[in-house]
Amino acid sequence: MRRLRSSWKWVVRVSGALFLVLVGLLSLSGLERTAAVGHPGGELVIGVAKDQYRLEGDAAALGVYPLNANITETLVRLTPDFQIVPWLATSWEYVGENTWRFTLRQGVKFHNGDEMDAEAVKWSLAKQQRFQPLFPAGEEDIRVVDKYTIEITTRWDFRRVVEALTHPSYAIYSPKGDPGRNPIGTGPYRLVEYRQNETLVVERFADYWNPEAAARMDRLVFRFIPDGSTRILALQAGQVDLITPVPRENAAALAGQPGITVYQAPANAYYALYFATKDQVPPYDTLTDPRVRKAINYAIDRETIVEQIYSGFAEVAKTLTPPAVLPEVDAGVEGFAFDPGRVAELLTEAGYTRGADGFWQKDGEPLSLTLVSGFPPASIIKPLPEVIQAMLEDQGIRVRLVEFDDIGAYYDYVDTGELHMVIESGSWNMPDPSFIPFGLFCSCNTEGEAILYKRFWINEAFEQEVMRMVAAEDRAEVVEAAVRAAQIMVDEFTGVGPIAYIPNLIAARDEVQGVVVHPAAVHQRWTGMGK
Amino acid sequence: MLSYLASRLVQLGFVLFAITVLSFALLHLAPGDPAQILLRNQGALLTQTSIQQMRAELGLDQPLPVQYLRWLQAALRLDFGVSFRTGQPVSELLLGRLGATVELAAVALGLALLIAVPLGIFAAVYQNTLVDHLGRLAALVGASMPSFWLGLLLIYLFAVRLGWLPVLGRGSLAHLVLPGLTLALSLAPVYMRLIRASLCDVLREDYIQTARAKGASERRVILRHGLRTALIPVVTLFGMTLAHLLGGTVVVETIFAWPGIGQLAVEAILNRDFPVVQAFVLLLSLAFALANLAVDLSYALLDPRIRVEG
Amino acid sequence: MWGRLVRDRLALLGLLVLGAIGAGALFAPWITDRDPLDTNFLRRFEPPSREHPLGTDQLGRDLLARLLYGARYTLGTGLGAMGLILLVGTAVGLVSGLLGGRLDALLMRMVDVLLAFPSLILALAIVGMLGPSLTNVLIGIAAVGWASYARVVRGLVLSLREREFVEAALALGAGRLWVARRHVLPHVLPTVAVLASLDMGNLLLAISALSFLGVGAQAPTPEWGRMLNDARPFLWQAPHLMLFPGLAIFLVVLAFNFLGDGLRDLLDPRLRR
Repeated sequence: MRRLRSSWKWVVRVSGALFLVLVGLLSLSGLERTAAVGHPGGELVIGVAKDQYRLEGDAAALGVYPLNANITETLVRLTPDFQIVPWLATSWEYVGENTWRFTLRQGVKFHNGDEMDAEAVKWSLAKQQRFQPLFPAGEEDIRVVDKYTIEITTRWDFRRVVEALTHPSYAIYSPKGDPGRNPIGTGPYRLVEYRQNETLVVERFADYWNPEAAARMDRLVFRFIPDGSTRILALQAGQVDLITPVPRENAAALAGQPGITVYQAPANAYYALYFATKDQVPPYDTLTDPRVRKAINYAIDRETIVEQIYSGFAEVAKTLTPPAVLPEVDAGVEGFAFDPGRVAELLTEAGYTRGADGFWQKDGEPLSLTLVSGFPPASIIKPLPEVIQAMLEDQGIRVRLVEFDDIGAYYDYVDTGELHMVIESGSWNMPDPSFIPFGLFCSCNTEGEAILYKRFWINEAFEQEVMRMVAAEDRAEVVEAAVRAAQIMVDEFTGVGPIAYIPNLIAARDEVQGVVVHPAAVHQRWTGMGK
Repeated sequence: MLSYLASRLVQLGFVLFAITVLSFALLHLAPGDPAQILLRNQGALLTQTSIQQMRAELGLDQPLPVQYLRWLQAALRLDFGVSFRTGQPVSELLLGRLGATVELAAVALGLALLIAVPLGIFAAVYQNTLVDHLGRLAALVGASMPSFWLGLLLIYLFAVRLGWLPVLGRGSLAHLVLPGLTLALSLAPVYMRLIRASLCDVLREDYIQTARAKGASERRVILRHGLRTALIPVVTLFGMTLAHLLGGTVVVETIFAWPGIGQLAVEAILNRDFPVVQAFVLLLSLAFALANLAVDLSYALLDPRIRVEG
Repeated sequence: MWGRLVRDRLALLGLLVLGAIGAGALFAPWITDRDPLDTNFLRRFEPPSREHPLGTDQLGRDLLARLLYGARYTLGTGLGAMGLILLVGTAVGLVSGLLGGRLDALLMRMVDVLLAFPSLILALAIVGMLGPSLTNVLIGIAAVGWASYARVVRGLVLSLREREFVEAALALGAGRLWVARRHVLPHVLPTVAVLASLDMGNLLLAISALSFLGVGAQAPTPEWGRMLNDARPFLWQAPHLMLFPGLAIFLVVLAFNFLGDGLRDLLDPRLRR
């Protein structure tokens, strides 16, 4: 017994010594430098998704895109009700020959005290044109007329320039800064500190030009929390005041928690299937038959998805254009309702028979489709692909699911063509009805990143409508072309399977007031929020 | 001794060469054209010309041996190129994350020893009694626990139910507790068994018996004579457990959103950010190989028999 | 005496648990009449009940059925990987040990190289490059796992070569292949089998870790690591989703470790650490 007691003592001592060593190691590793953050009056801590900033070259957009910390602003602004209003430009006009003239606001100060002028605007727009143009114009097509006037000319009759300039990628920077390390903008907040994958801190800019849109909080701390459930836990624990994006499948349960409110904007994004129809070789050419494409559309029970999976934080979609973007499009398309009878009819018509196992087959080969998910990354879009898989299997269509948690790896796979369809999300970051059709599905888009049209091409008639949308000067013609394009895309050719329109969500603790969610997350303003 | 050292160094040289070849080969093991991946990640236009240009820029149009030598030459200067995803220099990315991983690993190692040393001593002192068997049972249970599950359980208990500890990222000391503990609990069983086995051997030695016979207290015998000798193989086995530790940080950092190199590596692998993956694999295996060399050499120093054999 | 008894009992317990889980996987259709893939969107996140003994998951699927059928994937991949590892490891070890010379040196340097890589990370890198799938996980794990077996087998062969009966057989002009089959393999296999059972738990942990990290099984495969990963978003809403798959992994690994611990004594003392 004595032996036991004495040995206890030295075990305690050894442990104590080890503990001291541990503490020493900790202080060596410099832990004390980050004491508890605290909330000294005017600080809002915002939990956001993973750090996706590019820091190098023309792609650099620290604090600007995709997470917009309101460091910079654009010439024209997209309001939460999807209107274009003058911002750093006070007015603009189309002066003919594919040319627009913008008059800049005078007396706008950059964070370094310099005044914003046409040179800075040209420098900023040229950066984006070199990197990823959203309208067909080169650096040389952006001209300084005088200190407060700038002209932009497009290479062909592309008329959606003003809409494109609302995109945060067309942020106006001071050329003295560095968009990757030290962005100097005109926004209500200025960058204070950036720690990659950890935090981005901004502070109220005292000399901000627009008192009506000035910041309420002194400091915003954005914390990068890649995992959605961790983000929710951090909000519940009060480690952050507000989170965005909110994992859609958790939104309803979160809204039911005391002390937390989930805010949503009108839907401005969508989930949809794209069907591979162009240049597909067996066995990946099954969907070149429009009847099979339509059968898939009839096999999806969108009501159940919206109500059961997303608990109302989504709407049934008929097109890729949510009503908030342009109500005429959704209203002008017939779309597809869940109808197992039609699925059977169409597949029988296409030459398939239902086997004893309940699955459709043709010439002894089962109807088996490969569905690829990866944009957004699988961990964000799930469980939707699995739901679609289950719904199609319920109708006797076998589905092999291939998931990627990375967009690059996903595109690499799509490039191989070993697939029948993909499930993607698209977000309308511009108030231009041609944005998605032109940007993703039109072979006419040779400037941007239209990769999808190679496999998910619709048809000539669709492209003509897209070109009309892009080139029309008259708003009524744009709307008419947009409706027509959607009818071709969905009802006639059926190149896509729209599933749901989805709103941008913010969840905040009840202390946070003044939360206004912008339909497009990249346009979010933080200035009105306070606590 | 010198000839053993020389032969070990030659062997290490070969291993290092093979490691660099393997790391380099990773890039070519993967489907897809690195040039296209890079262009796409930059958001640049994919045309025949731009792809050709990028291939030339990356040196991909050169024969493989030339590519390898170029890569190796740069790698020797710690220049691993730039990340396909962020465009940052890879060495900068790795260095920026290293601190967090070292912090986590140090704390986990400390906690693991805090658990393993007393338990290991107890088990050895009371070997083949109930205490020892319970200790072994605990070690088996600990070694069978999937660290990713343990992490989730700890998060659920301490962060969700009790709300005692923060759940995310890095910052204060409190942030370190859960990831540190998760990693420590998967390491502790390994150390505990090593310490027990080693101390058991030592306690059987003659000089311990002599010390006991001379009437030294049991505590003194174990602490003064036993433990010191027993810890030597444990320390040298650090090299072996390093692999365990590194593998563990990958999983634990992912669960706890800990911004270390493990998380970076998982992301880079999923992103196909080849330069980062190459550098990561190269540096880790280098560290691992060197640690093992140190272990072998210290064995040789401690145990003269190996020298003859070598 | 105590130790042996406890160890034997634990090994027996491990064997019983493994037998039970194996039987559960094989006879899943007789144990539950639920389909592991059958979704019911109206009954998601249900806690355990009479109808669903372990509750339902995020798509309303029966968790018990998923775990039972999932054992086939998790254990199947583990056994498959181990089989591949043993095949390659033993073959390389035999060749290296029996033939010796340059080939031996080359093979052993390869082994050194592989052992110099942290195995989970190398496997992750290989699977990441090959693309996500359970088959690729099997390949990745096997590609890094065979090296230590090759080294052990070679060591055994070298020690056997000095034994009289092998020397005699070789001296009598018996073919090396014949010697290998007749004299060497029977002595090597038991050791390898014990090593494998000791190692199996770690192998399963590595497989489920890779699946958990998202490079393994694809939906809707009810592989346990993948199920854990799928349960993560619902940690605070429905903790039973992550509780049961984790428990299943833990129990299987524990059972293998009990078994291995009991069998350890059978090993050649030189292999004991």
